[in-house]
This record gives sequence, C-alpha cells and structure tokens, in this order.
Amino acid sequence: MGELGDLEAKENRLKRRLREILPRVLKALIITILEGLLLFFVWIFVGGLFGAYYEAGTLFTIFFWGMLFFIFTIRVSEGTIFKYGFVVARALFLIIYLIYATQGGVLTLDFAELHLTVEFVPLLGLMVFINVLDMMRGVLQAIEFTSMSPQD
Amino acid sequence: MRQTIRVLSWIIKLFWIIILVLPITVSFSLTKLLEARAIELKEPTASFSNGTFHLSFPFHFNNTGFYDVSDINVTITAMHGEKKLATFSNVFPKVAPGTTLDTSYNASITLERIAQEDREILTNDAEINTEVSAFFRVAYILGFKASLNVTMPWGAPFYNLSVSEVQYNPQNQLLLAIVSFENHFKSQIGGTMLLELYNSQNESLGSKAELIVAAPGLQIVSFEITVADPPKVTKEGFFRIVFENVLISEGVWEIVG
Repeated sequence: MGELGDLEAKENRLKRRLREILPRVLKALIITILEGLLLFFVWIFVGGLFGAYYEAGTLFTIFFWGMLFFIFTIRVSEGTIFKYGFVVARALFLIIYLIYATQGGVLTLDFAELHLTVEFVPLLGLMVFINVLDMMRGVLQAIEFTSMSPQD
Repeated sequence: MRQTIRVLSWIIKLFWIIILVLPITVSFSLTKLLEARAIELKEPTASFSNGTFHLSFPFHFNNTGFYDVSDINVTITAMHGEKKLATFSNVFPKVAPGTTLDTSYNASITLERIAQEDREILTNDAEINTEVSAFFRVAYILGFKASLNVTMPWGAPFYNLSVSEVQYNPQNQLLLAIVSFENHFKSQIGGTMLLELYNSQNESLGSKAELIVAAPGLQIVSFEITVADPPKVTKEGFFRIVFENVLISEGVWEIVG
C-alpha cells in the first residue's frame, strides 16, 4: 500500500513537472520558429549584398543555427540560473563568430576585375565590447538571481 | 545591483544603435558620392626632365557625403610581363563634407630605373599592366580599399632606335653616323645622347655626344666622329647609344656605299 502510494506520488510529481515544462518548451519552440523565420527573411533581403563573399552562405548557416539554439535554450531555461549561463555563452559565441566571420574586421569582396576590401576594425571592436558588456550583464543577473530570496 | 544591470542594458542599447546607424549613414553617404559622380578625372599630362619621366593625372574630388573622407592613399604598381617596373604611392589630405579637392596623382620614374628593370621598353612599345589600388576611410571608422587591374599602353621614347647609316670619309678621317628613332612618349624628351662606335674587334673608334630635344615623332640625329686611329676602321662594327648617362641600346653598324 505504501509502495503504491509512493508510485502514485511520483507519477503525480512527473505529471506536474510535465505540465510545467511542456508549455514552456512549446512556447520556446514557437518563439524560436518565429525568430528563425525573421532571421531567414532578413537574410533573403540582405543576403544579396554579401553574394560576392563566397563564404557568406556557410557563415550565415552557422549564425542561424547558433542563434536558434540560444533563443530556444534561453527561453526554456527562463526562471532558472541556467538562463544566465546561456546568455553568457551566447555573448561568447557572438564574439568568436564575429571575429571569425569578419576575418578580424577586414572583408574582401570580388566583383569581376574589381577587388573591394572593407575594413571595419573599430566597428568590430565595438561589437565585441557590446558582447563583453552582455556577458557582464549576464553574470550580474545570475548573481542577482541567486541572491534573491523566495520572498523577492 | 539592479541599477548596474539597468545602466549596462542602456549602454548596450546605445552601442547597438550606433553600430546599426553608422554603417547605414556611411552607405548612404557613399551612395551620394557615387550618384554625384564625385570623382572627375582630367586629361593626364606627361613630361621628361633631368633623366626622369613624369606622369600626372589631375583629378577633382567633391565630397558630397556626410562624413570626412580621410587617409586617402592611391598606389599604382606597374608591371611589364613578370617584371615589376615601379610602385608609386600618393597620399592626399582629408576632404571634409561639402568641400572639394583639386589635385594630381603624380608618378615619376627615372630613365636609369627603367633601364635597370626592363631596358626593352625604352625602344619598344609595350602594354604595361598596372594594379591601381585606392584606400580611403569614411567617418574615420570604415576603411575601403578598391583594387583594379588596368592595362595601359606605353609609348617607347626611343622606338626602333638604330644606327641607320654609317659613312666613312678617309680624307678627313670622319665617320658619319645617322641615328634614327621614333619618340612614342607623350611629350618631348631632351638630353645628351652619346654614340660610341667600335670596330669588328670591339676596339673603340671614337664617340660623340649631341644635345637633342626630341618631340614626339620621327627623329634623325647625325653624329660626326673623328677617328683617331684610321687603320682600325672596319666595314662593320658595334655601337652603343647612351642617353643621359644611361645605356639605351647596343647593336651592329655597317658602312654603306
């Protein structure tokens, strides 16, 4: 009788957890799909500008799936400490991605006879700085989250 | 803590606005420059003085954009086949929005340098491959570099240079040599031309220098060389033509008649 009661309690706990998690996962999935579509349409409109850059398609694919992963994980982990871990990881991913994809802020495009090089090192520096600030903000938010009492 | 996070969020938002707005306004500024045909190239000029060829490409730049255009640097690398002839680089001052720049791109190369790198182009026309590379910075933040390969015709200043006629007068021990060439360079060339004649045993018969001013077109210069040792004169021999202390051509001559 006691064992049966334990099993029932476990089952109830599992059901409760599922009832909590499933809507959150569904919500995260819907938001991820919507933001994925937005990114895809942005690429359709501005991708042509980078047509001359031979690696543009591959680089965008990396960015696209990377961002979708972080959108989903941050949404799913909403209300937990993991959210801030994913926020910091996203900022780190963006720093590495930006430096790699822009070849350190120097892009070379070939248009038949014309070779065009665009140098935007200061702008890249600013983008990296923003992501460093984002990481700092994530860490501070994590500290704030852990220091919050249940009453808060 | 909350205040710090809030301030950080505001700073991040502000920087994102700057990052998004700057490239858009710079692109718009560049579009305005392209639409207004901001760069106007004028007729290039060429000259020759003190053993140096000077080329000048005047141009006019009107900055119709919103930002300063700075660090303007134009580099031209001239090649003939695989031989690198020279690299020219000109730096121009910054051009503020709404102002113009009237200047010239100047390139100079000495006759000596050309002779060192590729003597052939002094006596033969050629197609010179040039890599033109222009760099400029907009708003001090975004740098643009455009490189283009262009083929330019080169007109040899001593095209078809030859000692066309050599006559010997034993009475006054004079060798009369006619040197002919076509100046295909875009301007006149002036300087001292020295003709050295040697017999078939490569012994010097004499030499003569003449001051010449050659306009574009066919040029005929006659040299009268007094032979110091008449028995050395042979029916044919070798010549060397030196212009402004630079060896231009060597070849074979033959007495006519």
